[in-house]
Amino acid sequence: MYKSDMIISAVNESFFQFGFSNFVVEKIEERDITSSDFPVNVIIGCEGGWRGNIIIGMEKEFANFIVKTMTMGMIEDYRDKMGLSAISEMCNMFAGAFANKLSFNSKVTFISPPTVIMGDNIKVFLSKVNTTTVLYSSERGRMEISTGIWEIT
Amino acid sequence: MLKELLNCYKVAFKTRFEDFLNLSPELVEERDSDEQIDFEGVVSLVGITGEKKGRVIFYLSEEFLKMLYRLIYGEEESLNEMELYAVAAEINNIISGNAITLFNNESSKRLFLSPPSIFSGKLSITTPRINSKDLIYKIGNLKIAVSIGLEGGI
Repeated sequence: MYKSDMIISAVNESFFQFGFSNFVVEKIEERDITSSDFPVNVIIGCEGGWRGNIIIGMEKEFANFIVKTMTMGMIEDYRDKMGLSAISEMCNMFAGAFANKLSFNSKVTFISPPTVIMGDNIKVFLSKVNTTTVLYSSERGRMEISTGIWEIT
Repeated sequence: MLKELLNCYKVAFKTRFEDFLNLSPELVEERDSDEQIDFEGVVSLVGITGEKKGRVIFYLSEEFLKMLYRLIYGEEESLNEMELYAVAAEINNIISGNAITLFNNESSKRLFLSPPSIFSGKLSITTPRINSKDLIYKIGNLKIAVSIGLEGGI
């Protein structure tokens, strides 16, 4: 199974549970560096059978969309304390599903807690490793998932 | 558990800076971390996995990283942004690696580190549902802050 297939499958298992079905894969890319150009980023580290970092970058509008959907409209701003918690939990669920897929063939992979980093024009530099990136788009903005991970042999 | 890990970080911070760079960091403050931290500069983050999950964040100013770069390479002319980020990643990697090894040797727990990630700019940082402490160090006239957090902490 390709990493991009694992990402898409993990998104289907996590995000789609909450009814985020109206966004589509816009682009799948292989890069030689893990980075992000988005203002809202969630970072999750991987260790064990696979090592590296997962970064889920999203536009503010998309972050608000996640928060509004997860809280059933009670919270509309991702910067709210509960909003940030909802975003990190969503990404944690995705990373858990993704790590589960990586863990086939006894390559058990553990994930660290999600950290949310926000800001306009921020620069993100993770690792110079082969990175699989899947860009999703919807009417409510875009989200990009980058997995800069390598297998421990 | 967080207390023990903090103690290991204090030892690692002091010994790594003294042994590698001949610098004497002074711990000026230890406090509970704010839920959300606003910071302008360079941030280096490593995740903790294993029997307990967490994360360690180094808050670094550009001046501090330039000073480290000068100490390591002896000059600054060739310094570019990527090299500055590499210094930020490596300082976290060295100190966290040492601290986690000390912690694992002293306790029956097994913790592991994920590779560092670097951010720069005007940042707002938050890790929900985590208990963390800040260690503020002074080296010369420059400050460096380290935030160490574990899930379920204390």
